[in-house]
Amino acid sequence: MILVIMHKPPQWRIARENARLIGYRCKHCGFVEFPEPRKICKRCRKPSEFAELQMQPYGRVISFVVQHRLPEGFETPLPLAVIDLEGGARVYGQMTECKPDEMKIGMSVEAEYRIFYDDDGLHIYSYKFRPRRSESM
Amino acid sequence: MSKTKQQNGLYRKIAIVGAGMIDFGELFEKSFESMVEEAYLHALKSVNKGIDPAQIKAAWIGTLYPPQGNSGLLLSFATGLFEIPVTRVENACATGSDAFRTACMAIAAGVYDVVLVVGVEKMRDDGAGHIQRSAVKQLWGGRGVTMPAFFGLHATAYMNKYKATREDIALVSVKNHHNGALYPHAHYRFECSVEEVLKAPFISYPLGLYDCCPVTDGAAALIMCRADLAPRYTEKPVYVLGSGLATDTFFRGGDLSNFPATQFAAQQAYEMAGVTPDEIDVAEIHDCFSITELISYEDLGFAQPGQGAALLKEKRVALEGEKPINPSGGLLAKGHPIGATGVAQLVELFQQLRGEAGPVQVKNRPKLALQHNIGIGRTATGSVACVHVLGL
Repeated sequence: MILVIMHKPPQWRIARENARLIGYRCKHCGFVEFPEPRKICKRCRKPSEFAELQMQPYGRVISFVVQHRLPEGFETPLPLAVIDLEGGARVYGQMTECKPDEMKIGMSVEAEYRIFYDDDGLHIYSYKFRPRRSESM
Repeated sequence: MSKTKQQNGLYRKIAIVGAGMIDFGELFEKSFESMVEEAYLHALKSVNKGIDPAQIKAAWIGTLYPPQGNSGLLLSFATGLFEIPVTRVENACATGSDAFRTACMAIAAGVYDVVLVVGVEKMRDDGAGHIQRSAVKQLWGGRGVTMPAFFGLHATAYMNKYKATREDIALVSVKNHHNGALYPHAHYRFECSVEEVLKAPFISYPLGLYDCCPVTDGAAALIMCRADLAPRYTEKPVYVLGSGLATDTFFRGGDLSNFPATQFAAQQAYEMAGVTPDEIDVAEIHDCFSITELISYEDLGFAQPGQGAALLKEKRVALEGEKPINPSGGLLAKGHPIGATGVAQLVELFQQLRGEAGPVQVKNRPKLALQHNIGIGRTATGSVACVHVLGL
């Protein structure tokens, strides 16, 4: 496991899933829960068993916005997307190394582990997304 | 109107007999409790045959960010209603509607005869904004996802799926600002053109400044009773015919071109009321952002998916149209003091159905009205919608 300093309980509880993109697939309907393991599926609404899933760091943009007004700590304009990871979960994705006019629904993106924000002087890491390399060249 | 009424539903069990609200705006001179007090006094005064506050047997207050602790006591301190059950309700931007809905359930259950509902929010005192702050220290909850972003994501998806344009969406803002300029309680009372909407600075592309509602202080109040007691208070009661509430999250699936929570809530309310979308004469729809109203036409069954803009282009939802929507100017002009919003929508529809809406009175002699309130919660990962059908 990647060693990540996450000293607050909310981050500590999902440290493994967050750092390694681990999801949990519902055995009833195939829905992938992420990042917290659950016992009830939010799509089929059944108590279920979940199989651990190593998700791949690739996905497709379902929709996006370009943020122009954000609090301190963000560089704007900032593209943000809803992303379906290939065979995995749907996630919010903050884009990086991507100009706003590159954004398109359906575009392929890849996840990169980055400093996400600072909390009481410690770096908090998570995934940001950028246009997928093979397609952006 | 029609059909078999659900025996277990709310149909005509509850009457609204009083409704009042304060002028919405940037109200630095008024405290949270003074806004509640004023809205309550307006509601009391609106009861045609008068009402003694001692007849109010229970009360609910809808507020998202109370200033001094989170209890129903805020209502008691503002209204003098001590010694009775007083409860605070919170359900994201549907807070006010759910406070009303909860009070309806208590009457329908036969527990209370006369009740009060107040919705209120004091949003301007805190310059940084409660809502923006929630976008910052999150991992997968959506760091950087603000309210305009959540609805902007739907706008981008809707435009992409149906080849709709920013001009189509801007028509909502133009219509509602037209109405709001006439509405005495509105925060913003100016008109704007499509060009002004399009050239305003972007907040969250594709939404610009005039696609977004303002941050507003406000309060609104309703007095309801068991339907058979209504003649004691007024000869013009407005009845609650149907109520629905549902939650959803797009993390379950979907393409973000609609709000399934609205569809579920509307289905419940229509079924309870025994009416169809076509029968609705006037509606107050949750237009926190222009796109929200456009998509809601479709979720509420007023238009087919992708066809909502036609209602605007053909002026069918204009003040003088066949199905006026947001005669009050909606949240875009009136403002969106969260807890007050749903209650204020119901206040407006109460007045519309009674023909007392003054400069924004619709001309189609409405008999059936629909109220719709949707919010997002759980750090912009889920939505909650509430729909009511009211009638004479």
